Amino acid sequence: MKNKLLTTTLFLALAVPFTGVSASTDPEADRQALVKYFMDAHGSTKFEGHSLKIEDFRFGSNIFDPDKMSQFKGSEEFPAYLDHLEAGEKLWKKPFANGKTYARCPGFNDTKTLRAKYPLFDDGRGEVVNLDQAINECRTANDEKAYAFGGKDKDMTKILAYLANESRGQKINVTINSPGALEAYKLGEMVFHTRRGQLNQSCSNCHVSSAGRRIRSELLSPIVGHTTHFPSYRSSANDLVSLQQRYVGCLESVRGYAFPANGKELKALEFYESFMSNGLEIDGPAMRP
Amino acid sequence: MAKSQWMHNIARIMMVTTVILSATVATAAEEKKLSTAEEGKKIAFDRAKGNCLACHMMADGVSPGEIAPPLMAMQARYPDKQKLFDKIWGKPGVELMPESQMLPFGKNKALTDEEISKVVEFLYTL
Ligand code: HEC
Ligand code: HEC
Repeated sequence: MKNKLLTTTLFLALAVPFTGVSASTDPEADRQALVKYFMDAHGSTKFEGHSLKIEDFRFGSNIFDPDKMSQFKGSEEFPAYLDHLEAGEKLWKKPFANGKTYARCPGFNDTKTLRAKYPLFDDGRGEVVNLDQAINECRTANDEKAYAFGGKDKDMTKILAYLANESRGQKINVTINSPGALEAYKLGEMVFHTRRGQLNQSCSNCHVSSAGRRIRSELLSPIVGHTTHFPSYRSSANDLVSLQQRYVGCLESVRGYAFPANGKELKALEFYESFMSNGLEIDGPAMRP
Repeated sequence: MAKSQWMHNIARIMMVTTVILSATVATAAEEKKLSTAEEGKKIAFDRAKGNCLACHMMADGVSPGEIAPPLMAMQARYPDKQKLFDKIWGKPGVELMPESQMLPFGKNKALTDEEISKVVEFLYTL
């Protein structure tokens, strides 16, 4: 009995929640605090023959479990998303009814760097633009119908997967250098840290404080690295899942509170999560359970 | 001949029905026999209800989460049942940690007061 009590006490002592949320106006300081939090907690973990580095966080929850990591590597050898990539490339290269292609849209000519430019804050319009939105804007500028957001249109997700794959090896590099961009960052930070739903959970509950632990049998990933590998191919869904779609899914899992995909809040969330993943390699699409 | 065949069938149908009926009665009786603690266990383990196993190790629950302290020696640790009830209900001032991920089940209407009381009875067996 005494032993059991001791275990419980130890467990509580280990479960240090992340309380580094400050209504700070210095995103880079926030990012470094978060990186420090994760490195303090997991920096001594062995991963692929070295001590865990923040760059490894692009592998998501795989970094916490060698078995999962080797399964991941196995599944990436003949990934289930190859057909989707091919389809995405075709869609990308297929001329619109007016004869032009995506590559003619402003900033779209080089697929090798395209993914890494987004999300960005457009000062002229005063809003976050993610790649999903930029693709749709290119379409409507060419008199094509916009795709539905949030993974509802599989063609959009395939294009996103193709572009992610083209930009592999590039680094996430979100910049914040205007008051508007800072506002968007702060909105994203708020969405991430606010508890909601009947289950009263915040993103940070699961993806900061509890990252590296299991919720039921699912190992929780850290926020750092969340945006590097989307769209991901979830074997459980047997399909590609876009980042915005994943956000909606996690919001639904806390029961009863959701923002629309690609609305102001979830674009801000993507902006915030991407900033927190700055410096990490883009490696999408990637297999996930 | 045809008629007796028909009667025979009726008899069979009735027999089968009786068996089914008594089976139903038996299950109902069994369910009635569930003690309050057993009912509490059902609620605690049910993914659409308490889903406590998502986060807590408890009793014989399979693949528990690792987010929260194991629920054990509950009676010793919560001699006051009301305190345990309040903890699960989510009464202010009972959080063990400032950023606790523990859900306020009563406050957020995820479980009724009656269901929480049953869960408390179950926890007292741990
Ligand atoms: C109650 C727990 C919980 C909450 C709250 C939650 N998630 Fe998740 N999330 C999960 C689980 C479980 C997974 C799948 C395992 C993993 O990769 O983390 C997941 C996966 C993800 C992934 C994919 C990770 C990957 O490597 O592919 C992202 C991105 C994500 N969540 C973002 C969010 C955001 C943003 C919020 C808040 C709006 C949120 N989550 C809230 C449990 C949660
Ligand atoms: C999303 C995660 C989660 C779920 C689901 C959950 N808990 Fe908890 N619970 C926690 C955490 C984290 C703690 C530790 C912090 C605290 O005490 O608030 C905790 C603490 C507790 C405590 C106090 C433990 C102690 O050592 O004193 C009790 C009792 C408890 N939970 C009961 C339950 C019951 C009963 C259920 C289901 C009906 C449940 N919990 C579901 C996360 C959860």
